[in-house]
Amino acid sequence: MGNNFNRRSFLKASLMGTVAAAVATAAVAKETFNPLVAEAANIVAPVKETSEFPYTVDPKYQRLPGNKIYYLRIFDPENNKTPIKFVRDDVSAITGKKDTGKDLPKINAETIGIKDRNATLTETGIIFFTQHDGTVLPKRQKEEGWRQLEVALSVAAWSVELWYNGFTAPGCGPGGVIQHYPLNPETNEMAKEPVPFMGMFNWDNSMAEEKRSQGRQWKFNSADEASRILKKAARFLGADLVGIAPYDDRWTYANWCRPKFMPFKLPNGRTTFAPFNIEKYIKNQEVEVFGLSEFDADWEKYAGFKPKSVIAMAFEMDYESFRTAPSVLQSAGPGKIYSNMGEVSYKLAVFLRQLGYNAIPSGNDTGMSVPIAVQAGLGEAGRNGMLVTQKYGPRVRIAKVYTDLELVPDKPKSFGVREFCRLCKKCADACPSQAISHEKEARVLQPEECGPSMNPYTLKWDVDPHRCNSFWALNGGDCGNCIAVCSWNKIGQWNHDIARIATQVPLIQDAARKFDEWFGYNGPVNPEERIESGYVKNMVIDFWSDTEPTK
Amino acid sequence: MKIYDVLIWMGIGMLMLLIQYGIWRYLKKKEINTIPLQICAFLANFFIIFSLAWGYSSFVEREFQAVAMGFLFFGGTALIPAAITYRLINRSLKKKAGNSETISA
Repeated sequence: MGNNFNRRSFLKASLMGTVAAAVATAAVAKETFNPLVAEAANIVAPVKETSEFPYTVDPKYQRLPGNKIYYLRIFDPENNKTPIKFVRDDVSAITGKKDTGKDLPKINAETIGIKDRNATLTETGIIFFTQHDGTVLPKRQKEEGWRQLEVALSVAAWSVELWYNGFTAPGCGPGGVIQHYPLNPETNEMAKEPVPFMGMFNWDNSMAEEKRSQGRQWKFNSADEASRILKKAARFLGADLVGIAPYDDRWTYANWCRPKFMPFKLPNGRTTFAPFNIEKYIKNQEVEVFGLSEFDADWEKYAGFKPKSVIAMAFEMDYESFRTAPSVLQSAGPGKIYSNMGEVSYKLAVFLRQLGYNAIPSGNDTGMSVPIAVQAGLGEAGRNGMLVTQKYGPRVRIAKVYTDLELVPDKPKSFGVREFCRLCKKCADACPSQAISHEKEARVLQPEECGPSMNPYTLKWDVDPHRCNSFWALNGGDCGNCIAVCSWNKIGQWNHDIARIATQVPLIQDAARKFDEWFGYNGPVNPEERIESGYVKNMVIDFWSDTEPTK
Repeated sequence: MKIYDVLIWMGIGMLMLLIQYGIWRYLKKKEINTIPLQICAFLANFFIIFSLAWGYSSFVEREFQAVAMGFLFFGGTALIPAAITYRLINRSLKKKAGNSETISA
């Protein structure tokens, strides 16, 4: 052809230019490219469905009592008598590294002026809760991520969950109890004495009863139609992922309980009810709790019906705030979603009640959310004990609505998480208190291997909540490292779908975690390096400087 | 999607086709425009463009280490088919040149 550009070549070049322009139009470029890659990933890494619950549950399995949930045990005075006990005193023999969690109870005790012993479980919990609600500022309050600024955002994000949902995040139930000060509508004066009532996770089904008594219960043509409509309603009302599980008694707590509250006078003359002695803690850093109110897990008695189906909803937590883990700013991510969960599940319950069906909206209370979400096909249970979804990884929270409406359950899905978790162990390495198991294979845990808040006889990797919460107390906020560093914690972008294909290729599967680290996703895995390298500080600065969310 | 995002993706797509067009012209010029060489050169082109697309996506995601690693890893991968294609073209040219000398002698 030489350098002569004749008419024929010109035509060819023009044709190619036109093709180039057509191929590279915006629609083709990204909007099509993204789902195409996701589709390709689904073909190479197919989502498998199972008809049964996918993890072994031994016949000896028993339901976990609500009063054994770690966060509720904090309020049991029995747990304030002896120092906190980890499931394994020293994990360095297993991990081959220094046990960074071993000394936490001692450090936590020193925080409240105790020199001669380790902190108790109750003390550990109260040190955490008083920082979590902004009463006490964290130790690192001068560092970006732990300043009053970040604490304020975190408390703001949690505020609806704390003061309107009834703070069921620790697992307390049935439903959440809130307290507000009555207002005289004629004088606009607020009373000094609060009145307790039910929060957004509201168990009052009188609305459904009323509809039924009026003969206005909506009849769906089929269970399929009802399931589709309920899913649409859940998505419309704000859920990011939704699935339906059959009601399975195994996942309901063996009893329900909530902390006992006592009145305290605030400096402004108002009375507030608190589950621990605020005055003693503020004055002398002395910890006193008042025990738990326990309720039989009796659906008929407290809800007026026995559920047939559970609508499980997953809510995406903010990506940018999780990048700042383990800072307090990270806590704003789950806080915002806990607040949102109450609202959305309440709305979905109202939808059902308006149709004349009973519904119980639930956050972390009433039953275990992870197995329900697994049964509803929302994801798989990962090494860190959390639900790992295909779309958001473990960066989700789960709410559920129990109902007596007959729905068609979804099937549990598998897309390679359990296989990948065997090899990756990023969360276990990133855990500052070494709470997550380093064992390669998940096991059916035996009672002697479990602490009081762990439920034996199911196939899983063990996670020690005592270690986890001990770091939270030191940190001044919930940590989130295990979610932040997870290889599945990615935004919905085509390049991550390609990485998902790689996780299915046996040889690359072994190296996938290393690639994730080499590419720098989600920062350093070593918890100390995360902070000391300046990564967390940079992420906090990025968070505040970029008003556009990274999605 | 912002307008600059649209333009960048459009540019990446056009660049890929322009490079392939350049390869085609280069092979024509060298008079060894065979399908295996076209495919080999396309692989290099694909990986270069892939590394650009990866880099841009990672930049948008604010994962700057992933930008650098993307260029290193996928850009590095592009060098393999690029070097093979280049060597194949030039080896055959040398051979041709050697043969012609023999004949002329």
